[in-house]
Amino acid sequence: MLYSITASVSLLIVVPAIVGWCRFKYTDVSYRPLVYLLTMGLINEIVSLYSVFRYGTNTINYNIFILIETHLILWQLGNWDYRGRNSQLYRRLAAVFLIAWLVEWAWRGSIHQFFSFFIIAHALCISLLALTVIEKSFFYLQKRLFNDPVFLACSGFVIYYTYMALLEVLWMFGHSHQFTVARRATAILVIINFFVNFLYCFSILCTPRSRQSIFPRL
Amino acid sequence: MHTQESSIYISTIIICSILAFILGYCAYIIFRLQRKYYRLKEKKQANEIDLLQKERGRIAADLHDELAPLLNITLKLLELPELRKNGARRVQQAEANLVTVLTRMGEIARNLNKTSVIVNDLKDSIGLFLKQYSFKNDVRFRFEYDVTAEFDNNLALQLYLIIQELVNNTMRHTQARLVDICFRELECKIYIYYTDDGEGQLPFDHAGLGIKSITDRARQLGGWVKIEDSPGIKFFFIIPFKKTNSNGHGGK
Repeated sequence: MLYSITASVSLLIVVPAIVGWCRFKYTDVSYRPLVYLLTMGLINEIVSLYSVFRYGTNTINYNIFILIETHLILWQLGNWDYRGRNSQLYRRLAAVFLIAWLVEWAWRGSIHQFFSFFIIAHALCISLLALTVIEKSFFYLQKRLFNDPVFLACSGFVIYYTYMALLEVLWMFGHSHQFTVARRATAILVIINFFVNFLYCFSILCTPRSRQSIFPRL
Repeated sequence: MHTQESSIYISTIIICSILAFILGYCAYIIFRLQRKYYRLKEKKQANEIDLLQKERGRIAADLHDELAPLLNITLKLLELPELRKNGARRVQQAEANLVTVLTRMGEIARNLNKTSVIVNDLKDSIGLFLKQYSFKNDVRFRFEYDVTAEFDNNLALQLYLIIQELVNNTMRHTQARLVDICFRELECKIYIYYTDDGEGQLPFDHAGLGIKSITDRARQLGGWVKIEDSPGIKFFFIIPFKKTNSNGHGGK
């Protein structure tokens, strides 16, 4: 029952993804990684559903997804971080995360186990980077904060990935009695997921139009 | 559920609630600080505009009360019969020049004394400003204004000042020959694209007051700015506005 609710709410990512693709042509280039991220999220959810019903686990696609997700978020945050003038740091971080992912794979010796350390590390890193972007662009954000796509999306990242790190710690050490706790904590994730999808959707709707779509001749 | 399990579960929920509370409180502080920042900025801009108007009024008063009487006295002196007898032609010339200076000064003083920097509508004011610039410099301006809505005086003034600052930056930092300024209105938003064909670049690393004031003004209007990294100056603005019924500055 819990799984079907979690899965249904997770699939709500289809809404921001569709909105993103409807507006894709008009969206400014610097905001497009967010649309790719939402699309990847949707694909992962569908593949996960299929894998769980077919094989009983979604480990492989989830492990691959978190790697792609990390890189897409770093690309997006790199674009937002002070008008993309800090992109070198994000490129280095992307390389570090790729190495970390490969190291965890080598250490575990199989892709059939969740890469928990990587999940915790990437979740914490994304939360901190999103907070940094909010802090750095604080004086560049729009007058109405709740209309600012950067603020909305970064708030979503902070909320979702902070909780994800916490949850993964519970799952990591949840071999015995804490297993029920981890399962129940997952239920809270449903609410967070719903709220964050709503934030992403609103963020996509607030993205500015691209210059090319307004002045195609110039 | 075991007692131990339920206690762990309750403590997890408490930790999550505390985290949520802290995050919520942080968001609230950010929200309040940002509002405060914009209020201060608004006040600063209002003071700036007020100061500008006062300065214009003061210059107009100085021209009218101090320079004009002096010039009038000089004109009267030139009309004296003994001066007319000697070098009559040159005196007449000087007299004619003085009359022109007095008339022009009167016009300038009247213009300065008007309450708004923008005299007719935004399109005319920008057009006039660009015309004045192209007289002095070897630069060609292409100005497209595809806006029909009317908007309030403050917005018109801020947009005028943004364009003025951008043109000044083009003259100072790039060796541009052609400048494109395009205005377009779509869904209660004004889209402005400013680009020149210059080779130089704006000094972003040591961004001066000019660039800061441009971005500040746009953001203060609730807008969004994109500065494209390429030779020359390329600014793209999206400024939301509310349509006004009358006494605003608009397109036609």
